[in-house]
Amino acid sequence: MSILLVAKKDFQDAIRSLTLVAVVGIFTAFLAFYTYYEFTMTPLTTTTAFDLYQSTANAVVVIGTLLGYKSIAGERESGSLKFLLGAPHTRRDVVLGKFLGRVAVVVVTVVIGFVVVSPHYVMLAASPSVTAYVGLIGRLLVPGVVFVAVALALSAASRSTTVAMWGAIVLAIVFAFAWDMVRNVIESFMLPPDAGIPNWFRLITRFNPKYFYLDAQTLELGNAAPFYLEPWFGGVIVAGWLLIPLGLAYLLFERSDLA
Amino acid sequence: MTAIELRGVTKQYGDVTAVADLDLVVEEGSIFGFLGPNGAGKSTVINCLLDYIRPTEGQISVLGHDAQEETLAVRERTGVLPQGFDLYDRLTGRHHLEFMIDSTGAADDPEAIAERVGIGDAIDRQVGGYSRGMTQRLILGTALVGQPDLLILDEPSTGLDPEGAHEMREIVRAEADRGATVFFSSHILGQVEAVCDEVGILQNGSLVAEDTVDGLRNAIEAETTLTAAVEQLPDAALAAVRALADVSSVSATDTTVTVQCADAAKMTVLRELETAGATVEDFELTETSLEELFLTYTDDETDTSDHDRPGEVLTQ
Repeated sequence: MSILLVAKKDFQDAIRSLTLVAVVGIFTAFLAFYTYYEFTMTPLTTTTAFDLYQSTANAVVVIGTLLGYKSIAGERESGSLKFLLGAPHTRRDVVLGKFLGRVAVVVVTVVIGFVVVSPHYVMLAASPSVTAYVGLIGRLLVPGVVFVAVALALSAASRSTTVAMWGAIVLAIVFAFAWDMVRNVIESFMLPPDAGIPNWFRLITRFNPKYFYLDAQTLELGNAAPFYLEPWFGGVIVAGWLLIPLGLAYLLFERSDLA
Repeated sequence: MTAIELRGVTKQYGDVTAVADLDLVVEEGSIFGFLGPNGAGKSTVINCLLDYIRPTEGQISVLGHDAQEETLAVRERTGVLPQGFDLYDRLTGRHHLEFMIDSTGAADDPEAIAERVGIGDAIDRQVGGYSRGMTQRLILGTALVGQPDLLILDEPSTGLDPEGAHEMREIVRAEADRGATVFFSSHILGQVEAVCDEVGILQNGSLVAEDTVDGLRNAIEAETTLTAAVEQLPDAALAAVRALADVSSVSATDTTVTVQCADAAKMTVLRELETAGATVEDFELTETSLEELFLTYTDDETDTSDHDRPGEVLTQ
C-alpha cells in the first residue's frame, strides 16, 4: 500500500514535467522517422515490425536512464525526501515506490510513441500485424524497465545528482552503444572466422539487457543449445539486472544519512 | 510517560562532533522548546529522532519506540515539519495534503486543513508558485494530518511573517490542548518563551540548560546586568571580574564594561574594577531578561548577523 502511494505520487509529479513532454515528443518523432526509414529504405528484404527493435531499444535505454538517475538523489538534494519520509513510509517503500512510478512513466512514454506512430506503420508495412507490433512494444519495455532500475539504483546509492548523472551516462553509453561496437569488433577480428559463433560469446551478448531475448529459438540453433541459451534464462538475466542493482542500492540507502 | 528520550546520543561527521553525549527527556503532553543558535546541533538531533540520520552512539526512543528500529511506528504517530525540506513544485497543495491523508489513513478533509493553516484559497495551485511562507504553512498542514500524538517542528516559523508566526503558535497551543506533545526548535527565544512549558538550550551539541520557562526566569531574577563606563580598561580588570564567583558573563568595548552577575555581587564587581585600575565614571543597573540569559548561554558561538539576532524578533 505504502509502495503504491509513493508510486502514485511519483507518477503524478513526473507526468507534469515539461521534460517528460519533450522526451515523449522526441521519442515519437524519432520512432516515426525510423519506421519510415526501415520500411522504405531497405526494399530488398522484407521488413517486419521487429526490425524496428535495434535502434528503438537504444532510445528506450536512454529514456529509462534519464527517468531513473535523478529519482532519489534529486529528492535527497532538494529535501523533498524529508517530506516523503515524514509520512509513514520506510526507505524501502521509497525505493520500490519510486521504481514502480518511473516504470509507469517509461511504459506511458513508449506506448504513446507507438500508438501515435501505428497508423504510419499500418500504411508502410507490407503485412502489418497487431501481434508483432504489440510484441515489439513488450520486448522494448524490458530494457526500459531494467535501465530505470539500474539508474534508480545509482540514484539511491549516490549523495549527489552529479555522481548519479555521470554513472547513468556511462551506463547508457556502455549498454546502448559501446557494447555493440566491441561485440562487432570481437566477432569480426578476434574469433576464428570459420568456426561459427561460440555459445559463450552468445551468452555474453545476452547479458546486455537489450539482448535478453536472444535464445536458441531466436537464433535458430536447434536443440543442441546449452541451458543458458534457453528462453527461460532470459528471465534469469532480467531478474538479475533488476534485483542486484536495486538490492545493493537499497542496502546502501538504508544505511546512509539522508540529511 | 515520556514522548522523547535520548540517552548518550552522539553524532559525529568525521572529526566533527555535531552532538555530544546528549541526554534529553520530553514528557508526554508538554510543549518543549528546543533552543540554540544556528549550528548548535538542533537539526541533527531532530534528524536522528526522525531517522533521517543515524546517531553514532546512543539510544533514542520516540513515543516508546526505538527511533532507528521502529521507524514506521514512530512516523505513524508523528507529524513532521523538517528543516531544509522541499515539496513537489508541480503538484498542488491539495495533492500534498491528499498524499499525507492517504499515507496515514486519516479521515481528514484537505480543505479544512488548508483553511486552518491559512492557505485555503491556494490549495489548488501548484506549490512551485507558493511563497516560502505558504510552503511552510502547507507542510505544517501536512504535519497536522491524522491528529498525531507528537509534533516535531524544526524552526517552524522560518519564512513566516510575525502574524504567521503568531498563527503558528496558536496552532501549536491548540494541538497541545488536544493532548499532543509538541517538540519544536528555534534560534529565537521569543517564539519559544511565549508557548513552551519547558525549554532546553543546546550549545555546541550539548544541553547547557533544561528547565521550565518559569524556572529559567526565576534563576535569572536574582541576576543583574551592570553596565559601567570606565576611563580606561586594563586587560587584567576584565580577567579579574570574570574570575569572580557570582559573575555569569562579561563583555566590553573600549570604555564600557557589561557584566551579568548576581544582584548581591554588583558592589564586588565595581570594587574589583577599581582595584584593577579601571576608574569607573558612571554605572547603570538593569534586570537581566530571559533573552539576555539565552545570549549568555549561547554567547561564544552565537551567529550575530542581523537576521539571527534573537532580540530582533522579540521587539517586533
